[in-house]
Formats: sequence, structure tokens, C-alpha cells
Amino acid sequence: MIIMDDKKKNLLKSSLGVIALLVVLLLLPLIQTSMMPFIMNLLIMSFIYICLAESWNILAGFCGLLSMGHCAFFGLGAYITVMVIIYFDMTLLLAILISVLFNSILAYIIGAISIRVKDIFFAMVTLAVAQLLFSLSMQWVDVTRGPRGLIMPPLYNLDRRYLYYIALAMVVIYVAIVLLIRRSRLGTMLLSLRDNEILAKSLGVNTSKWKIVATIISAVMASLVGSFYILYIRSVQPGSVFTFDVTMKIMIVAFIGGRGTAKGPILGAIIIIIDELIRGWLGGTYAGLPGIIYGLILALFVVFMPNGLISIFNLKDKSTSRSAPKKEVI
Amino acid sequence: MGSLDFPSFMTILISGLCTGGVYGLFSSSFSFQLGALNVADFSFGSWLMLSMYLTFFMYKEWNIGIIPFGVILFGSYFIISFLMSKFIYIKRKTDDNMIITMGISLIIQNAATLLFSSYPRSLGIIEKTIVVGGVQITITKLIMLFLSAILLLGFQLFLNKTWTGKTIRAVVQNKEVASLMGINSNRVINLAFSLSYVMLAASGIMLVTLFSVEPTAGGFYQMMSFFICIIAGLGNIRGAFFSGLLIGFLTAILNIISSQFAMVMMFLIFVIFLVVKPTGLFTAKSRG
Repeated sequence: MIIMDDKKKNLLKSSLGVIALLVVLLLLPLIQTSMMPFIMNLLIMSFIYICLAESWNILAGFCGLLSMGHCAFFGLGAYITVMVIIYFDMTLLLAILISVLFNSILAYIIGAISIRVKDIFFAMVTLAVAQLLFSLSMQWVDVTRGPRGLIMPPLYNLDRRYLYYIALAMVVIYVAIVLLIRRSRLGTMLLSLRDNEILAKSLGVNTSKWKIVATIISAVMASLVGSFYILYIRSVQPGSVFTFDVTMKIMIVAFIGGRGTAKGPILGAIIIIIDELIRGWLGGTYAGLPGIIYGLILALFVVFMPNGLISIFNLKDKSTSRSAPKKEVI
Repeated sequence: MGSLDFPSFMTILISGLCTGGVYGLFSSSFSFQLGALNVADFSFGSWLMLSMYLTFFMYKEWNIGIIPFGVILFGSYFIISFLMSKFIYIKRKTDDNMIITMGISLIIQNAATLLFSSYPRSLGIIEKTIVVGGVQITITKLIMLFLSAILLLGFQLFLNKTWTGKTIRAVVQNKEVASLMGINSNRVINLAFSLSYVMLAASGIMLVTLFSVEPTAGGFYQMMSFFICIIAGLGNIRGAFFSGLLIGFLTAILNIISSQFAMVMMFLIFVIFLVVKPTGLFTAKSRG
């Protein structure tokens, strides 16, 4: 009989759980019921937010750069993809590549900004960039058609089931990327930026370079989700991608799951499912209620459970999660 | 721009300057929070919006006089912010505070949507104007400019002359030493935070006489106040008032150039300014 130590046992247990979950998710679309489109929509929406939260995690969880305009990358990805297809009549793949290129340029600029400004300044710069893009997409009616938004041409009309598998694959890849980054040299560098930038600098870490690299990785990830979003929803309006609500949802997913962890957002996606259910249940009545619940959840989680849901499950991701806030010594 | 004659150009500029005065008032209260007390308060704009809403309903629906209303509003803002500071903000780090205040802001904004509906409300005051050489100046705006200047002057005097004001400045300059001198630092910080909220409530009352209010208005004012106190240099209260005037001026000019892209240009200037000179134009000698 093979004797396993605790660590291996835990690893086996958690990997068995992950495999079981994956198999269930893979087989799910094969079931034929009338509820299936609804369930699939729920899952795809939560997959989108898991991916976005993973990309946000690289900036905010690893580097400590609290990005409050993450919807800018996501929305720009969606907008550029559909604009290239509509106005220049290019193929989908090329459109996605171009949107990634644009996002990298934006990320380079924001990364360059992040070298100069910190904490709340960085948060405000990213917020302002998102606001800028929102105003631009609202006002530049000739190109973006203003608040009515842009509609994807019917050429790329994929079956919902394929989209589901694409989204699932994206989630798996994104989680793997974040895990890999965490375990690589790059992850260690980024964590050192978060914990003590001056010390990291003095030890010879090129902080400016790694900040820009992290921003670009994060932006490209968010941009690809944006391209997927336009394939799935088939239309994009300024109000649905560039508003603060989107950033809010991303942050809530990341926070509830556990900031700075790779597996956290998967748990955090529960909130997206709950949200869609509440919205469906309430319909158009009680317009502000979901937002109130969101705000309460966010504030209460930061106060009472700063490490997120993942701290309950006690998965082997502890090293990256933040320690509980210490009381300030006076 | 070519079709605009000089008097109407001046009218727009002066009106921008007057609204800039009120911007300056709430921004200096924000600047005081962020620069002096080190609280990154993202619920600031929403509280401002709430104060505007309450003033609107006081005037239109509830039939309370302005003085009892003022007492109730200032009192409740004082108590709420004192409790928030005492139990939440003072114990936590900046980025946790940012997220918590953001949650609070979300609650207020959506509660306003739920209770008051998202329809924009305006007091609709018919304004008297005085005309000087073809330039029209609305009296309400002029009053608001002077009122905010007086309020700020009062706050400055309070900080400089009274005992409580002096303790606030001492704690802002050096918390540890102030504690050693027998000042209850935490209570002083809570008090200062509450005072900035009273100032916020006052500027809410003034703002609703000039603009209409809707639940999402808070985000805009939040952004504006941040912009203004960055231009002034963090914690510089007097500078915040003057850069408020500057921003009012700038908004008016941008609207004359192109009303369609005014906001886009505004945010562009904001981002460029933050990158080029994050320390501000009027650099503060001492913080607070």
C-alpha cells in the first residue's frame, strides 16, 4: 500500500474535484431540456466574468495595481473587433489580432503611467481612461453609432454550444496561465512589486519593465474576452461594456473568490449566477435592488472575509492570497 | 466658435467661473479627506448626490423650512461619517478602504434609483440676471460663488484659529507626536472627517440650485473633485478652491470649442495632467 503524505492527498483530492467538475461541464450541453439555453447563458456569462477576473487578478492581485477601469480593455476589445469586421471587412481572426494590438498599445500607455503614479492615483487614471472611452463611444456617433451601439454582421453566427465550449476552454486556459505565472519567475517578480516595491528595486528587479509586462498580459487577456463577448452577445453598446458596473462585477467576482488567487474567481462566479437569477426574477421592477445587494456583498466581504471564499475551502493557494489587514499601530 | 460674439462668450465664461466656485467647495472637502486624513473615499460623490436629492425633496415635497432641514442634514451627515470613520476607515489600509467606499457608493446610488427613480430632478429656479455691458450674470450663481468662498474661508479660519482646528492640524502633521502631546489622535481624525462631510452636505444644497440631479451624478462629481484636488496638489484646501474656479473656466471653454467632445477632452486633459504633473500646480508647503 502506498502511503501518501498530506500534501499529496490534498493535491489528489483537489485535482479529482477539478476533473469531476470539468467532466460535468463538458457533458452538460448534451442534455436536451427546454431549460438548457437558459442554463447555458448563465454559465457562459459566468465564464466571461471568471476570465475577466483572472485578468484583473494579474494586475490587482499580483502587482498591487488596483485597476478600476478594467472594462476599458474588455470594451475596447469588443468594439475594435466588431468595427474592423464592419468597416474593413476583414476576417474574424484578423479582427481579433488587431483588437489585441490596440489593447496592447493602450496597456503600454497605462503601464507607463503606473510607473509614475500609485495607489489611488492609478485607480483614478484607469477610471478616467474607462470614462474617456465611454464618452468617446457615446459621442463619436459617425463611427460607433453612439448609444445604439454596433451589431455584428450575421456572417459569424456560431451555435451556442460551440460558444459554450470556447468559453470553457478560455476559462481553463486562463486559470492555467495565472497558475503558471504564479509559479514562474515572473510571478515572484510581480508579487515582490506588490509587497515592497522599494525593496524589490533595491534587489535588482526592474520594476518599471515588469509593471508594463503585467499590464500588457492582463489587457490582452481582457481583450480576448471582449472579442468573445461580441461573438456571443452579437451587439455592443457603450452602456453594456464601458460602464463602471462591469468593472464592479469583475472586482466583486475576484474579491468574493479571493484576490490574487487563480482558483478564486471560479468560486466568485457564483455571484454572477445569483445576479442573473435575481435580475430574471425581478424583471424590470425594483430597478436599484440588485445594485444594493452588490454593494452590501462587496463591503461586507472586504470587512469580514478579506481573503475571499477560497479561505473557507483552504485550497493550496494560500501563498498568493493576502494576509488579513493588520490594525494600524498608533 | 466664429458665430459667438464677445458678450455671450463672456457670459458663458463667467457662468463657468461661478459653478467652478461650488466645484471648488466640495473638492476642497475631498482634498482635505484624501490629502490630510489619508482616506481614499470613493463614496464621496454619492453622498453629494444624496444631499442634492434630499434638498430637492425638502424644497418640493416635504415642506420643512431650510433651517430645520439644514440642522437635520448636517447633523445626520456628521454622525454617519463619524461612525464610518470610527468603525471602518481608520483601521484599514488604503486599497481596502477604496473597495469598501465603492460598495457604499453602490448602495447609495442604487437606493436613490429605487426610492427616487432614475428620472433627473431639477429645482427649476427662474433665475434673475443682471446685465453689465451685454454680459449676463445670473444672481443665483453669483451668490453661490460668494457663499462657497465664505464657507471655505470660515473653514480655514477654524483650522487656524480655534483649539480644535489646531489639534486637527497637529494630528495631520504628525500623528505620533500629537498623541504624545496628549491629543486623542483617532478622535480628532474622526472629527475632521465628519467636518469634511458637513462641508459636503452644504455643497450638495448649493449644487442642486444650479444643476439637475440623477442617481448617477455622483460619479461625475467624484471624478471632478479628484481632478480638481490633483491640480491643486493633495491636501491644499485653498488651492482646491482656485483650481475649482480654473476647472469651471476650462469646462466652459471646452463647451464653446465643441460641446460634443467636451467630456472626452476633459478626461484626456485629466489623464495627461496626472501623468505629467501628479504633484499639482499649487504645491502645498505643509499638508493641511
